[in-house]
Amino acid sequence: MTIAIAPSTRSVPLAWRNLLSNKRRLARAVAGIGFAVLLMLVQLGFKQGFFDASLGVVRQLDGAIIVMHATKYRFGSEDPFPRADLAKAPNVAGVASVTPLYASWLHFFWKSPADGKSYLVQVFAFDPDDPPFLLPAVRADSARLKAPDAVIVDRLARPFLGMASGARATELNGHPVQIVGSFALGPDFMSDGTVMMSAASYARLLTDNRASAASLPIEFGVIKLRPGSDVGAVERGLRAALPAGVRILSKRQLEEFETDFQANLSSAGPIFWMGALVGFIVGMLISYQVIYTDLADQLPQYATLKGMGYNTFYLLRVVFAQAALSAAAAYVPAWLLCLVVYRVIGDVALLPLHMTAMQTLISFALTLGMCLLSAAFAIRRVVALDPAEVF
Amino acid sequence: MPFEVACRVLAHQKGRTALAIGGVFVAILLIFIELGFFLAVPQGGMLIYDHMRFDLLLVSKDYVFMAQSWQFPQRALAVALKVPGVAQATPVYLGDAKWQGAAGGPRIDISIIGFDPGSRAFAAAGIESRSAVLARADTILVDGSTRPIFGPLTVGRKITLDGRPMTIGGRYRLGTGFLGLGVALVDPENFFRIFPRRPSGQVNFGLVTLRPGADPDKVAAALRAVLPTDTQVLTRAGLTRQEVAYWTTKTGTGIIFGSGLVVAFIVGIMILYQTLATQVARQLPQFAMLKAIGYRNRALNAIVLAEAVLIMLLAFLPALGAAFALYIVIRRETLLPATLSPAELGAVFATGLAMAAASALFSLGRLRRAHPADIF
Amino acid sequence: MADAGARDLCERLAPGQPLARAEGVSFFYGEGESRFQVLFDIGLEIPPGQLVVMTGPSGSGKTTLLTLIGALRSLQEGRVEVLGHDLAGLDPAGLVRVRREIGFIFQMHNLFEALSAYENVKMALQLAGRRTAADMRARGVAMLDRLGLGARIDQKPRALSGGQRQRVAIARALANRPKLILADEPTAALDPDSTRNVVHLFKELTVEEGTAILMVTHDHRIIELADRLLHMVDGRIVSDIILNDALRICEFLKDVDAFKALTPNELTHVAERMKKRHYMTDEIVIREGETGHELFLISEGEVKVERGGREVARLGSGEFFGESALLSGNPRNATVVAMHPLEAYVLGEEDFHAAIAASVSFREQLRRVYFLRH
Repeated sequence: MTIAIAPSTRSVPLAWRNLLSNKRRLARAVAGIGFAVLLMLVQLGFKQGFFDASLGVVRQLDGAIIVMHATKYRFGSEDPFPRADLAKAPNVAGVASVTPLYASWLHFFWKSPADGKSYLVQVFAFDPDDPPFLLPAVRADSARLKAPDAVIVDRLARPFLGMASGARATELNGHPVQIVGSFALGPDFMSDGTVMMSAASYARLLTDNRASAASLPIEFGVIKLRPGSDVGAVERGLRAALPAGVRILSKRQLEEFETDFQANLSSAGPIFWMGALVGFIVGMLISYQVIYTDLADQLPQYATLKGMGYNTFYLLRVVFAQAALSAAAAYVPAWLLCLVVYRVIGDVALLPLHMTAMQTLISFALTLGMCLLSAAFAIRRVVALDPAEVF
Repeated sequence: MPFEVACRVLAHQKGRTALAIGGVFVAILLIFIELGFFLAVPQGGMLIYDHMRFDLLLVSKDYVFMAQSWQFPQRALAVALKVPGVAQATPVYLGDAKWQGAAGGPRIDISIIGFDPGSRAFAAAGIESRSAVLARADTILVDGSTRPIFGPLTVGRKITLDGRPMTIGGRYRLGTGFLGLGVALVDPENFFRIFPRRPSGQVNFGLVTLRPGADPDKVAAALRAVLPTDTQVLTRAGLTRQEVAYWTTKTGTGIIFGSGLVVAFIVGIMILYQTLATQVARQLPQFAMLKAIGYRNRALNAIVLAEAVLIMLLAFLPALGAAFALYIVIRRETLLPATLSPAELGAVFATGLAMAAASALFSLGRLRRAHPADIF
Repeated sequence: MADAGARDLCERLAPGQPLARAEGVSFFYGEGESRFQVLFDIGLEIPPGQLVVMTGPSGSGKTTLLTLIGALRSLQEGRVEVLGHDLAGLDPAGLVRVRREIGFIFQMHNLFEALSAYENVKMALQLAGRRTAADMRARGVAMLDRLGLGARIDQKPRALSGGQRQRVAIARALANRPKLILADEPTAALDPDSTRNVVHLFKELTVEEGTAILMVTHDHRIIELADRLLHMVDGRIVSDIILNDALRICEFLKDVDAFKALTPNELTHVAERMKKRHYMTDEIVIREGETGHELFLISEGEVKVERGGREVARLGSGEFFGESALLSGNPRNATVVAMHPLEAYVLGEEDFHAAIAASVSFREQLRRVYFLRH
């Protein structure tokens, strides 16, 4: 005998009808389960958002291979290596260009045009003719960085830094600087905002004019490959050519390196997984209550079905089908609402909150799972139903 | 009397009552957890300060938050000592160094706090007892909750800080707060050996303790009058306000965890209402019978309220227990010092009770309007 | 209608084919100290085509018996056979299968609020399996129509009155044309017109399709139309009476020598035409010398046969008299007086001749008796 999940002409789609016929009950179920779904999605979004934020800069690097000090424990730690270590890199087969990148997270204080106070900012510096970033605004404005003490800023930085205020000048480390352009990057755990400048300006501001850029150690060597080169082969070639004190990573390996650090060593991951778990448990309990109440209200009807000659298996299928349909009915509005929530919170918290296919898949699987699981708890009553008790 | 009736009613249908208690349990637990996360952020920011002894804090006027404190001249402390009511003005230094194992490996950022052990700046057991250790040359005390990436924190282990060989002299338990992944303590002599390029006349914090009976606000005002404009004076309350404001508003963690809390609150209230409304609606026949034998509406209200209170009481304690268990896990797995003070606990309880009572009465009112002929 | 079904009336009494049979059935509720007995050694048989009504005070066990026969409960003591299945030996899956063959009408309609009237009935129809959607629709609509709900087929229960909902439940139970119908106060919620309609439908089913119906009710309109009345008190069947006269006569005739040899068909023919009549003590049934128009068969009581004022014979239950006048055409040759209050079945002259014409064996039997007496 066929059971119906979708309406069919052969058998009565009892689960479908049960779900849809009582509009008020449907609304309550959708609201209840939907909110739990929203909770889960928001937590998962945060988790992903933090990871994405911390990878924001890494993903924007314009190169296939990155060279950095072997003792760096994360992308954002200041641990530069001598520029000379890159000397042999251009000779390695497959290497098209080697671009040095200076970076600092602990030594540049930006005077905010918004409140006049000085704050630590993330700084990147490079040769303006060869900016190692994919950000279109950076490539467009880098020529302007040739002017002395010219900087470009992250207009998506945290508001208190005032980088989007339209100011034309401020101070870095007490020196006046000219703001000649902006790009769109966004903050992360390490930094509240980013400033980019030429290597020459960098040396001047960092060492108070005492050293030149060439003498300063660099944070990264960004390497572009000739078309058709095999990344692994070039990596091996570089490993052979460069000193042991540097580490050679493909861009993807660098992303994994940073992701591992965030996941294992910092707290963001567990917090949001826990939040999502809470959402899951809450959803399960709400869904259990919804299913249980519906079952309890219709126990005489189900007992009557048993009396008519339906076996327990059929009733179980109806209950599970109804649970699955509830999950689907609740998921869609929650998903849609979440898009709005992501937008709102993302704008306020400056976190890149996106709905991805993976998140949708995972959260839907979790939603379905929690509804089916709670149905499994509720069906004991149906199994135990004694049709004779209908009297 | 209404409590007796409520007890009988709840005890009669154990299954349904258990479900109702379960529902309220979930709602309260959810709020506890999200509240714990939300409050943990400012608590994390204040963790180290909360373990330091001072009545007033001197910092640079450019102070942003603990890890970005800037510096101010040490002679301000000498000036402060002259102000009546000030008993002690102790310098505390803060710097970032690169920690590396003796055999090499990754160089990891660690925060170094320098202070005079004799000044009793820290109110933590593992620190006060180890002044002798701190006095040793090139020896550090390391916080036990320093993350595993730093390697084993065994006493006697040799490491380098910014290339300088040091020995781990001991461990203490306080917490790293939001200073970073690891914190170590040294005495001022060791501090300036680790940071030789640091100007010796500059400090990060001035811990001011007052004589007994002195009024912190009055002394603060007096200090502000005599101190140069490159320093500022913060009371404990003012410091807390400022630090918490930084973490919750400037960094956006407040918004993120706050939004989680708001969603949790909404969901929690919804569940609470739903549970109690169902509970009340189920008893329509009993209410009809009670009205028929002469009970007044007020009596029904009392019974329903009593039920709500009983359910809330029965659900609250288990939820509290579960929440605390979860807090332990959270504290272990994350840097967040999740916990709830008795005041916050009480607030959750009071709010929950109020919402439960409101839900119960409201749903009774709806029932009344829906079935005027039946029972009312 | 009368002929087609009536022919089978006495056939229904053929032993060995009851649709439901209970033997030595006892049932207990509760456990240990609070165990009490609700059914005591119940035995009963329900043959096809009988409309059986069960009455009795509340707590008499009628509902329990109904649920046992309906395979809704497991037996504890005794045997129950339903539609050829021995319930004692069945596992829960087996019980489920038996239930599909029985139409059970519960006191509470228990319709699904989410389903239309037709869909509620379809829940029963789709159990039979292998029916096309069109077939199910036709059957369901027909049954609902028959119960006066033709205009409400696609309406949900909340749009129906209490009586209409109960009729949907009845339609649901009858939709598969089960051979056995068990009902618990099926007309309690119905108005007089609907009740009449439903009861006529029940009778139709018993007569046309040989369905057996066992029903618990207090509605005397149904009791009047029932074939058989069971009364239960305190877990025992205290009376089991066949109400339908013709049926009763059949039952009676079966044991009368003269009629034994008749086929059920012929028996039915005779039984249908016989009328019950009562006489008081000392009342004269037939008078010597009168013209005879009737044959008399004594069901209860005794008569005195007198010729010329002298008692010639006494006749009792199961014996008949008055045949000679009918056979010979002569006036009555004796006077027959009732000795106690007499209940007799009376067969009119025309019917008598018709019966003789229709049945050789009956004629032979009669002649033998006739000649024996003369």
